[in-house]
Amino acid sequence: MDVFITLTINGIATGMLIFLLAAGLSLIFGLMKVMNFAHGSFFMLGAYMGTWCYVSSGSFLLSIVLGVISGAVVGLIVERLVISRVYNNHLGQVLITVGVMMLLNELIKVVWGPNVIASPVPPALSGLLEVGGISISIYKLFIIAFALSVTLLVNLILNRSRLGMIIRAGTQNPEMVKALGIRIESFFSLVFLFGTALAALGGVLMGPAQNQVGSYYQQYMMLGFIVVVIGGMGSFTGAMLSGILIGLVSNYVAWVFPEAAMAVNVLLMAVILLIKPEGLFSVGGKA
Amino acid sequence: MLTCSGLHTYIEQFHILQGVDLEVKRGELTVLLGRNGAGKTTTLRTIMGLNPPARGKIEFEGEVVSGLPTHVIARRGIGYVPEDAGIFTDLTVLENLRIAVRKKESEARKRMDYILELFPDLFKFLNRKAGNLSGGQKQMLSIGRALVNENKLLLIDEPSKGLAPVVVNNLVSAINEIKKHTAVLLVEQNLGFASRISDKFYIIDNGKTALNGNMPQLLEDRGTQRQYMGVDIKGVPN
Repeated sequence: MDVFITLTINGIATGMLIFLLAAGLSLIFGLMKVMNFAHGSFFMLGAYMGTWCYVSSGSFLLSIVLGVISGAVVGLIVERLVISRVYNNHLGQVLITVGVMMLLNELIKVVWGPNVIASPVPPALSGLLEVGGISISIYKLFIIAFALSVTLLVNLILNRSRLGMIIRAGTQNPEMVKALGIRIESFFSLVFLFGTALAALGGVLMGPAQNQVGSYYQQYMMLGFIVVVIGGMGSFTGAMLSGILIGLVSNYVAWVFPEAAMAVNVLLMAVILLIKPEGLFSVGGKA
Repeated sequence: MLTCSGLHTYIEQFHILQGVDLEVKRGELTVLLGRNGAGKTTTLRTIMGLNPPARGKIEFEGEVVSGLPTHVIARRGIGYVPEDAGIFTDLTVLENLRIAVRKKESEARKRMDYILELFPDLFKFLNRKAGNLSGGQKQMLSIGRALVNENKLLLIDEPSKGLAPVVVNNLVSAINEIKKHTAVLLVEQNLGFASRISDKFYIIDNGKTALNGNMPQLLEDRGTQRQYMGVDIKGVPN
C-alpha cells in the first residue's frame, strides 16, 4: 500500500510538471494554430537555467524566477523572429520549429556542456514526510502544491479576465473574434511567451525531482504531445487532467515494467484517438 | 452607405465571386437571394475581409474598406452574424456579449439592456454556457452580439435556417425593430421570411449580381423566383 501511495504522489507530481509543459503547447496550438515542435526545448532550457542559477546562487526562488524569465524571453524572440513568419503555413511551421528545437538544444549543449549535470533539491524542501508510516517526498509535495497554485492562477486569468475571455474565444473561433473588431494577432506573442514560460517553469521544477538535468529532457516533449492529444487541443483543464493521468500511468507501469512506460502512454493516446479523436476535453467547435 | 463594385473573390483556386455589384442604403434592409452555392455567403465574407476580394472595390460610408483587415472593417461599424451563428460555445451568454464591447462600461450597459429587451429569452441564460442554447437562441445571441456596439450596418447570414416557425416569427419582429436604427444586408434562402422584412433584393447567380429591385416586385414575379431560386413564394413556408 505504501508503494502505491508513493507511486501515486510521484505520478501526480510528474503529471503536474508534464502539464506545465503541455499547457502552453495546447494554448499555442489552440489560439495560434501553431504546432511548436521546439516546445520541449523550453522545458529543457528552464531545467538547465534553473539548476545553474540554483547551484550558482543558492536561491531556489531566484532559480524559478530566472528560469521562467529565460523561457519567456527566448519564447518571445522565437515568436517574433521565426514563428510570426509562418502563420497559416503548417508545413513551414513544422520545419521551422524542428529547426528551432535543434538550434536551442545545441545552444544548451554549448553553454552547459553535453553531459548531465547534478540538480540538488534545496535543503528546505529535501527529506521525507512520515504520514501514517508512509514516507512521502517533501519536494514532490511541493511540486504538487506549487503547480496547483500556478494552475489556479492561470485558470483565474483565463476565466475571469478579458484577456482570458479573448484567448478562450480565439481558441474556438479566431475568425469570429476578428469580426468583432479584435486584432487577435496582437495576443499571439503574449500567448506564445506565456506558454514557453510555463514550459520553462516545469523544467526548473523537474531538475531537483530528477536530481539531474540532461539532454534526455527532450523526451518529455513526447509526453507533452500525448497529454495535449488526450486532453484536447486548446483545453487547459484537459491538459491538466490528462497530464496527471499520464504521470500516474508512467509511474505505475514503470514500477512493474520500466521499458513499457512510454509504450503504454502511446497506446493510451492511440485508444483515445480511436474513440474520441478531438481529445477527452476538447474545446467546443463552432456554434 | 455600402457600395460593392465588380467584386471578384477566389477561395483557393475557385473563382467564387465573378462580378458582384450591390448597394445598401441607410435605413434599408437589403436581402441577397439565390440558389445554394451562388456566392451569397462569400459576398458577406468578402465585405468583412474574411475572404478579401482579388478585384473590385468596397466602399463603406464613403471610404474604401476593401483590403483592410477584418478587425478594422468591424471597427468601422459593420457587425457580422455568420451562417452558423459563430457564437463561442465554451463562453457564457454574458461573456459572448461582453467580448464584443468596445466602449465604456456605462454605454455598454445601455446596449446590453437594449439587446435583452429585444431578445428577452437570453436574460434567463446569461450565466449559462452558450453551447447549451437552442438553435434559435444562438441566432438571437449572435445578432445581439453584433448590436453590442452601435454598428451602422449588420451583415446577417441565413438567420432563419433550421429554425421552428415560432422562432422565425420572433426573429422577424426583432429584425424589423433593428432595421429602424441599423441598415441590414441579409442573406436568405427562405423567400417567405425575407419577404416579411426586406425592402430591396439582389439575386446572386453563379457569383454575379443577376437582378435587383424592390421586394414587392419580386414577390409578384413568379418567373424570376422559379428561375433563380427554384421556388415561388406560395411554396415557401413562413
